[in-house]
Amino acid sequence: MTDLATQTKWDKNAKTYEWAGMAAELRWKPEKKALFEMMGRGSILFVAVGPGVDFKLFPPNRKIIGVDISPKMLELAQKKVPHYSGELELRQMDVQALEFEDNSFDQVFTSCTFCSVPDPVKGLNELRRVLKPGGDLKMFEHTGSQYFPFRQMLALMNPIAEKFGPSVNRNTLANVQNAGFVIHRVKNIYLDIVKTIEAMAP
Amino acid sequence: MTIGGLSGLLTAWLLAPGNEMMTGMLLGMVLGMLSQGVSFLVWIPLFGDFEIMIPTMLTGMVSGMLLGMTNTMISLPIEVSSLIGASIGVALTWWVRKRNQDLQGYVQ
Repeated sequence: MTDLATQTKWDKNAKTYEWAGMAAELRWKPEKKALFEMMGRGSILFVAVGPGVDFKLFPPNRKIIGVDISPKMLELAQKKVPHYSGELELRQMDVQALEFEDNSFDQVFTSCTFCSVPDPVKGLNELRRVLKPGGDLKMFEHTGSQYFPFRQMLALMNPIAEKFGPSVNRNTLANVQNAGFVIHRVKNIYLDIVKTIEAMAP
Repeated sequence: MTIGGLSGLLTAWLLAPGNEMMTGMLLGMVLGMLSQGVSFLVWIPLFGDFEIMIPTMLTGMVSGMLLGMTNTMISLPIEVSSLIGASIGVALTWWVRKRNQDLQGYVQ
């Protein structure tokens, strides 16, 4: 069942999302592109496509299913689908309750997703379920920090941030491990807040 | 600079010698954070969420707190208070930038 509170929040954000994230997307483009270049020829799930800002960074001719909880975001994303050279199918879905069979995908990609999932470990458990054993989880995420004073600042601003958008103090790395994934590599992009996480389903 | 300057201006304008120091510090910190909140919306689309949020919030908190405290002890002219705030902003932005360089790359 879809989490309606989260869906409504991101529906409201859909119109301004691209505008607000414009500069960040430009700065993060090389790192995101490098991560998405790891998309193989197998079946790929992309979680939380948003308004489709990442589509232009996908390598050509891949077979990708993109999901998002927000129908408004998907409306915007759908307009960008014809510009992608591969197979890109979009579906409205909550990552905490994926409507896919077990072991359906070779790879799962996320982009600024687990800052917004109300129960991140539940969502990550779902990703592990739909991934084939040995399948890749590649994430581009922002998380909390382990360093002073950033950790305290993010904790301070989290109640307000959460009300209008994502959480800013999640320990996504620990959540990935708690969901049973084996972490391969972690790369800091901005401080230790924006990072890429590469993990594998056992 | 903008946030630090604004924090300096607001604390010098609202606080005066004789005000309770702890209240001045807390009020300064809140004013600094509010200054950050307003500018946040203006600068984020141009420079990115975290790249703006982290240094501006730090500047707002630190400059607001320090200048809030100072303005309860001595009467700083508004322009001096703003200049000190702006300088704190420059120093903290440089420090965050340096910290970012140190933390870059693979960590695991």
